[in-house]
Amino acid sequence: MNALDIELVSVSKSYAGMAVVKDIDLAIPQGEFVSILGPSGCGKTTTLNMIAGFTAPSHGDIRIKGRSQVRVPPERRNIGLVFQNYALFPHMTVTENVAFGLKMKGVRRNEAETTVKSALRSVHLEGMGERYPRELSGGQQQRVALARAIAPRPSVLLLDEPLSNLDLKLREAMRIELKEIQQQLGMTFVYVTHDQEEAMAMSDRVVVMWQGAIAQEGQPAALYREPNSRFVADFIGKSNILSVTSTATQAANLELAVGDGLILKAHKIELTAEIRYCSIRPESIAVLPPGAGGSGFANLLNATVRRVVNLGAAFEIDADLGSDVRLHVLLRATRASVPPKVGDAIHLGIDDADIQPLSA
Amino acid sequence: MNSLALDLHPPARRRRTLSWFPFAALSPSLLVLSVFFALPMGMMIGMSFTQTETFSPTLEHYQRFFTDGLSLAGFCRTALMSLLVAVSVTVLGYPVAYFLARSTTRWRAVVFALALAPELAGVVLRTYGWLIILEDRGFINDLLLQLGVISSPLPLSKNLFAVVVGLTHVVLPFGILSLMTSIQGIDPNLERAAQMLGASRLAVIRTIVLPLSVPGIVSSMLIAFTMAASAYATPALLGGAGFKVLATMIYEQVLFYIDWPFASVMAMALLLMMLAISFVGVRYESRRRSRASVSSGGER
Repeated sequence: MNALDIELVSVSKSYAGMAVVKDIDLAIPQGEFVSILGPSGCGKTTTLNMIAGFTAPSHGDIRIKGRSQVRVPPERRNIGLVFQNYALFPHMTVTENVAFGLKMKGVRRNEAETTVKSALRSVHLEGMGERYPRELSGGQQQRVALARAIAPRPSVLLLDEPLSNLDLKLREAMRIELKEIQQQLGMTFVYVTHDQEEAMAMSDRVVVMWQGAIAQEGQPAALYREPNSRFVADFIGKSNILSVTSTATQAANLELAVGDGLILKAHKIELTAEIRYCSIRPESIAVLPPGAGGSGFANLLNATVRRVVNLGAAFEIDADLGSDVRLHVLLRATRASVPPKVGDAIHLGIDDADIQPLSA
Repeated sequence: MNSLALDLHPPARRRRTLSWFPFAALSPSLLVLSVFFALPMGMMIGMSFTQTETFSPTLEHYQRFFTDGLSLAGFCRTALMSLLVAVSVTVLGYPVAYFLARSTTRWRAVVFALALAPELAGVVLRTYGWLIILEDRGFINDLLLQLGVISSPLPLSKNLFAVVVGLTHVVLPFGILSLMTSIQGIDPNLERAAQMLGASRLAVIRTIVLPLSVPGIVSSMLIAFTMAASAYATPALLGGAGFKVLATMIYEQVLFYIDWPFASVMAMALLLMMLAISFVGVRYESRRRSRASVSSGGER
């Protein structure tokens, strides 16, 4: 059940002395939806190409179901790949495209026909079999590419930014659909993307890559709540990142000095490295009416409103805490909530658990 | 109302000013083409229908072309030779073109230079080169005789084989270029996609690259055929006295027999052969295109 589908063992890749991927270790269990997330140039595409077999690692080993793949050509790895530009065969109909992998595997004709039909059904393209790719919309082409990749039942499906050529609405609908298809098939998906929302929405696990190395990996919620570095905190979601000038361990809290004499109380943690930054999510900051009591917040701060932006579902408030510290605060728009006005003095409440100390 | 009229006028006037300009720009080349191409062409057509002494219209030259036996044989030989060259250029050029289209190594530049290098030497020079290699006492026969593989020289020169070899060499760079352009137009991801679906290297070529490069294959064959059919020096030198194609026969008629009308008829035959081949190729390509657009129009 918990068999590993893909293992990357200290995999590195360098081109002419330039390290593109640095010593990556990754184990992906069967049936997991894993996203490799990172900005362009972080090495995620190179990693994908190494798993697919188009690029050989300079060091390290890549194993699929326990067997080393370094010397196995792409056509014998039994991996599916969905391309960013779909790469549908233009001279073949939808059916022929989807049947291609089965034909190459020597699957008998009537058996292949059933498989193609069920693959097309699972991507909701029944009855489109006789069309050519150029007669389909971008979203439909995307579905054909997916059906073509899953039809031969690969052990792993790699997806290389498959939604980036679609418009926003379709992209959001396809996210849900992709996840459903993955769960139905129980297939291991490795999803490469630079879009953190996409990765968060679909993945069981997100691997954040930066500068050729894994910056952090974990469940989406954990990554969001407890980023381990300034980069991850900034890359995933929006965050207030403050520079920490000094730290002091108290009985119950970790006290972080930010800006000019402002102290924030964070959860007490085991200090392994110097704390250099802290991250506070805008939605975890409470805006309290003037005169309201402590109401249980570890940090109660006075602030002046500098800017209010109405985002519809929420108000984004730019709050000035003095001593060169500014915080972005997200105030959910409810019938009851009255947004403060520019110049208003407000109180901000922050739980100690919502202040994430960062050492890098 | 008034302002509308004002708005409409300027573009119309601009269009009129534009219309004479392309012709003005083209006029030097149009002049050159009409004097050195259209005029001689017209004269040739006229001559082929003109009686030599009386200058009256006649079909006698055409009649002679179809009945003297030699002319039709030359016509067929030309077609056969050109077809063989077209096939051999395309078959030999394809792997090179594929390599040039896909390689990213430094070898690409080397192969590219080697592929086009033949064009740097003149046709006559290259043809003499082949003569040295293919002659009865040439390089190959010499080698085979000395090794004792054969006891008398192989007939490698003064025949169709030698001419096809020589012409293939001459035409190959053009075939490679047109194939390369066509293969370059194929998204490399298609090949990767096929590979990921379990296709071997050979299967990728057979199922993806070849079908998608058909336009390149057609144009390579068209170029090779027309270049071979109109070549003079190579068949004249490598084919020997016995090997006659339309190009060498026309030369003979003009220079030795001074029979311009009959030479014109042969030129017409050559011209029509090439027009027919080009028509077939272009027709194929446009049929393929319209098939594509008809089926895509079906969606709407």
